[in-house]
Amino acid sequence: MRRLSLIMGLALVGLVVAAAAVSLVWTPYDPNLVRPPDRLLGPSWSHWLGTDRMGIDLLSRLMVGSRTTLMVGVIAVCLAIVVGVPLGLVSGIRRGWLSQLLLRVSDIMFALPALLLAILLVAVRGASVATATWAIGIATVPVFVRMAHAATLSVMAQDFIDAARSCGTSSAAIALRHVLPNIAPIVGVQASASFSSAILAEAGLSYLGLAAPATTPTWGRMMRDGQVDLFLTAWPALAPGLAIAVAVLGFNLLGDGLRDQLDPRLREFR
Amino acid sequence: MSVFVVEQVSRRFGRRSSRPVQALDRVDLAIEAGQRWGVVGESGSGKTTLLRLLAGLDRPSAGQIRFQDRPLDLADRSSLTRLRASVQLVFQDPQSSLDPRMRVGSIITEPLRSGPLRRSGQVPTDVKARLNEVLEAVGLPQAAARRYPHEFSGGQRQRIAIARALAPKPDILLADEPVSALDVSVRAQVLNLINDLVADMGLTLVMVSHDLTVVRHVCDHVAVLKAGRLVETGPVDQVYRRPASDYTAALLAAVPRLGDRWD
Repeated sequence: MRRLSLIMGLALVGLVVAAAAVSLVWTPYDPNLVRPPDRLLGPSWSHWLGTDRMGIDLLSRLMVGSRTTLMVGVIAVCLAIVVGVPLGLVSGIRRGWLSQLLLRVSDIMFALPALLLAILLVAVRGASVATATWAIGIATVPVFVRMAHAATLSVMAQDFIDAARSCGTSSAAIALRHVLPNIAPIVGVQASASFSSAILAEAGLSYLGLAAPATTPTWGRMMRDGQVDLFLTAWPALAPGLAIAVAVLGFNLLGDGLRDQLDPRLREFR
Repeated sequence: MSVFVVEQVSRRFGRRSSRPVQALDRVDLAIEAGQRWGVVGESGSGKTTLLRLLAGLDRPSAGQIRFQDRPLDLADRSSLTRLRASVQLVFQDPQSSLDPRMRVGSIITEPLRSGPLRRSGQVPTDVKARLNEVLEAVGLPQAAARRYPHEFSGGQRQRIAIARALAPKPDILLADEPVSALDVSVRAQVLNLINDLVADMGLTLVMVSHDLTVVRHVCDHVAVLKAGRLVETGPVDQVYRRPASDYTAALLAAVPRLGDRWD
């Protein structure tokens, strides 16, 4: 069962990554080529997923769109980890008023919907993929702060921390040598889960027209464009929707599978 | 020479607003070099708190602890390093006291790689050689160093914990219920190991236990704690034969045994 979620997750994520990689060198059609005679075709051998209202091949556009999806996810989650994990780690090791303040600020940011933050940022900086990425990343920081904080507290309660302290190991060495390796699997699982949330958030923002301009192919944008013709054909909206579902499911399964792989205590029972 | 002199030490837990817990209440205790002390008492009597104070993991709310005839000040780096270099701890639960993500070799040599201990010049510098020495001393194969703690049984894990404590060549070994988390069948082995090592290396031992038979087996002096107060101290023979306090007598009467005298 554990193996299964890892394999399924890897397969689905692999599919998305492969699509993005292949799109760098080859797509079935030019993802921006408008061909009015071919508009709103259903799936066929020449257009596997059909075409949209401009006659653009949907598969080609989806493949190119996966690049934006992955890029936004990677950058947003990395930003959240790089900022959030150290803050959570330090606040878990040194418990003082500053840590408490930090956690309360995280709580407040938690209460603020990510979408609201994004809309705020877009209003200030204008709609772009970069702005959306920043917004998603910033909104994800408190997730990692809280998670790293809680995980650090549980590690710090273990006797091996006292053993390390009793032989004079510094707080910094304890953080790097004991705490970080022990919370790493949880960070990894959270990263995968947050990756799928980031994909959803980016799709949502693009759907609302708050991320990519119309010329940049993104999955959310494609759904928005496709829903206009929903009564004629479902494909232009359904295809990006399925792509989003596949990516989200893939990263969630990957996170679960990774957690079990990274834990040496569970590795035996594989 | 006195290793530890505990003078009127109290430790209170909890904030002023909530009802505080008096874990230790004006405890006096003098531990001489080479003695083997057993600290007994029921759960919550402050045994572990006392041990943590001696280990420098916690500081008293009131009173003073003198280490090797000098006041122990956790804020003073040199005072703390002197303590760290000569006092090592063995914990109750070897599941929790060994980092699951470290190999046994790194766990055991961690005290040798600690900055303050290395700079103090009191710990062995040849890490690899010392690792093999202590592995042999606790009866584990050298190949154990490359494995992870979860690959070992409870008794073996406690041996690893003992090896770690011995690695920096301490003078004083503190043990917090070192066998109570172990199977009855391996308790005797681990106790005998501690007994032999303490004798061979001439260590001073302070062992916390709720098991009076264990203390009898290993220690020569005993301190009885009840609700944070020291009710009785003295040589094991004397205390076990003629307990001065009713509480100690009750504790002794509660021990299941075959004969009816402590011989």
